[in-house]
Formats: sequence, structure tokens, C-alpha cells
Amino acid sequence: MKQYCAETIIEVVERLVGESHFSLEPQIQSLISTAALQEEDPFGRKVLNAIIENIAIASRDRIPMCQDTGMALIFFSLGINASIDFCGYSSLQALADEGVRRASSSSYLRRSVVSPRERKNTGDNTPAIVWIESVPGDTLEIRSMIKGFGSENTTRLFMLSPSSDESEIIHCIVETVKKAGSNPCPPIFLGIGIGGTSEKALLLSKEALFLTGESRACSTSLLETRILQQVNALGIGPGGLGGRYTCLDVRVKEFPTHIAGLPLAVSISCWAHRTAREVLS
Amino acid sequence: MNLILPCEKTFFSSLRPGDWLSLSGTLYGMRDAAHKRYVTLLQRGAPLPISLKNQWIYYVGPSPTKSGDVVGSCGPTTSIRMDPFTPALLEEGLAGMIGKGYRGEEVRKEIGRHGALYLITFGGCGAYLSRFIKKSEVIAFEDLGPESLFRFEVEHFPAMVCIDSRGIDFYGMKK
Repeated sequence: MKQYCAETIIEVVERLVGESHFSLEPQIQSLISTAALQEEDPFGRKVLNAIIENIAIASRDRIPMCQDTGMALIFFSLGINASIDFCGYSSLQALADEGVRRASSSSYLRRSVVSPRERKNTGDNTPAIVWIESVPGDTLEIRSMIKGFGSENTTRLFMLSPSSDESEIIHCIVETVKKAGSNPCPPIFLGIGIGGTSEKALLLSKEALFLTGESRACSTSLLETRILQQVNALGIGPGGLGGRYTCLDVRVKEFPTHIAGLPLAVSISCWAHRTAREVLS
Repeated sequence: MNLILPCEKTFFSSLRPGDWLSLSGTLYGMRDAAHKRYVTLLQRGAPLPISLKNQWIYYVGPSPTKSGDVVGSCGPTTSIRMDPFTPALLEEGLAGMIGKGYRGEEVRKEIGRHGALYLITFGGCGAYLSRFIKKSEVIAFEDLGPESLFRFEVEHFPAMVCIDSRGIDFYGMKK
């Protein structure tokens, strides 16, 4: 039985959440750099060049690349042969919150989290949105995603009919991106969840966002390619000012669903797709 | 083209959607909560912290300022959320707004009716845009934290005309 201590987990969460505001994961950065070289629309290119300069300043001067330092999503994948010494902390939620609290202070993050109705600021960006899954092995993988609300507000859930075909699925996704327009700060990343129940589909769509930019294992999913082509045919472009790069990557995650339904969730990330991950072993 | 703020709205008539501007002068930083409070005070006839006549609003809630810096990350937020409050502010003489994204039809018409301007700048580029801000202070609604009312002095702040003073919309033209 492998044991991980609370302080280590808190430090990892603080580092992942903090650092993701100063530089993007290499696969995300690389998609942005390629788009800047290949975008032909002069307005779109101007936006991409500003984005690249922005990331360089964020990384050089250690100032968050976007003032919307978001809500922090923390995904724990805990091996069944691993255990945690909580050292007085009450839960994984408490460890994630402590990491987010420290990152907000050490990385000068905006305090953006409020009670939903009274709109009272919690003062330290807690609580984090925490998801925990049990996996084989004795490792603990921690993944973080910073979700700004310019893009989060454009999320959509469709409860489609079981007889819906691929063209209807693609239509819903393209319409979601069209309606979002320039608001989610394109070029965007698309996470698509298909199947399960409503909340499962939404969670799958966030999980899918973690996969964007990664090389595909073997065959490129035909559905992902079709979605990417049709979304980019909209011509929304970087910053919504026009161009071929509306979306930089699409990933789909599927899960079995009920004979009577077909949930479809569409999650959008802005170009500042701030993911990070670390495996403790 | 350079534009010194604040200025009379008559200067705006030659500007067209898609024109890039370089702004210098004063901008007021206001987003959702500051809009709601300002318009509530206005409707009650209560004293206002600032007059918006001929002034410019930047839709922003900056991240905290590190010691030695002028301001934290300082990029635009989504403008359409301010739409319910915008007609009242235009009526007060607001000259221009800077944000990101499209506006609703009513706001587009009101911008045209008042000869105002709506500009957009680089979404998500808060680190880059902070470098054009030379002075920053909270002047009201301090209890709102990142949503306080800020006064910024900017130099050569980049922004593009999205809705011109006739109410013609860059996004509408592209549809």
C-alpha cells in the first residue's frame, strides 16, 4: 500500500493551479503557435500574435495570462492500492481547497468565487470543483483545469432523441459554437461528452477537454475531424474577428446511455486552456 | 489612429467598424456588479461616485497587483452581460465602451442613437494589455473587490471599433 501525505498533495495542487496561469501545456502552446503561422486572415493573425506576446509576458513577468483566473477544477485519480495520510485535513476536497487557497495568494490570482445568490466573495477562490475517481494501481494522478467563465457560460447540454444521427450531433455542436461567437475567446478547444446521464455527459465533456492537443493513439476519430472541419468553416476566427482558426482541437468522450435517450454535452475552453497534471508514485 | 480620452463624441463620426485605435487618457474599469450598483443609484436619484458624461468604460476586473507593478492582469470581459445597464449609461452621456464579444440589438441601436462607440480588444490577453496601463486606482465600490470601480490612465491601449457611432456592427457586417 503506497501512502501519500496531505502536504505533498496540497503542494502539487498549489503548483499546478499557480503555474498554469504563466504557461500553457506544450501541446496547447504548440497548436496556438502553428495557428499563428498559418492563419491567413489579417485580423485573425493580429489576435493570434497578441495572444503569443501575451503568453510570453505572462511567463516572463509572472503575471496571469488572463485576469479571469477562473474556478479551479481538480481531478483526483486515486489508485486502489494507494492511501492518504490526511494529517488533520478532513477530505480530498479540503486538500484541493488548501492548494487553491495558497495558489491564489502566491500567484496573485483574482478572487472570482462568490456565493451564488448573495454574490458574497469567498475571498480565496475556494471551493475548488473536485472530482474523484478510483483507478487500478498505487499512483495518485492530480489534474487541474482553470475554467474562466467567458467560455464556461457557453456550455450546453442537449438531451437528444435516441434516433438522432451523427449529422444532428454535429449540428448541435456547430450551433453551440456559432451562438457563443466571440464570447469564449476563440480560438477555442472543444470537449464533447456523448452518452451517460445529463451530468455524466457534462463531466465527460470536461474530461474530453483534458485530451485536447494530445496526439491521438491510433486512428483519428472521424467524428472529431468532422466536427473540427464544420466548426472552423464558420469563419468566426481568432477573437471572433475572422479566420480559419475558430477551434484548435476537438475531443469526444463517450459512455453507454439509456435506450430512450442520447445526452450530448458541449464544453468550450478559451485559447487560454490552462490544464496541468502530475502523477504521484 | 490615436484617440485621446475623454473627448467629445463628435470625433467619432469618421470611425468605422474594423478600424484599430490607440487610446490614451482615462478609462473607468466597471463590470457586472459595479454596473448594477451604479444604475441602481442612478435610478434612485442617489449621489453617483463619478459622472460618465463623455467618459469611457472598460469592462474589466483586474487580478491583484504585485508589488512594483501598476496593475495585475487586465483584459476585457464579455460585454453582453452589461447590456441591461448600457442604455441608462448612454443616456447619462457615456461616450464609449471597451470589452469583448458581440452586443444585443437594443444596445447596438442605442449606441447609434447616442453617437457613442463600442470597441473590442484582445480577449484573454490580460498580461499584454496590462502593459498599456500606466496608473490604476480603485475610486468607488471598494467592497466589490475585483468588481470595484477603477480609474485607469492608459497609453496607446489597442482596441478595434466594433460598433461605430452610426450603430453599424463589425459582427453584423460579417454575417
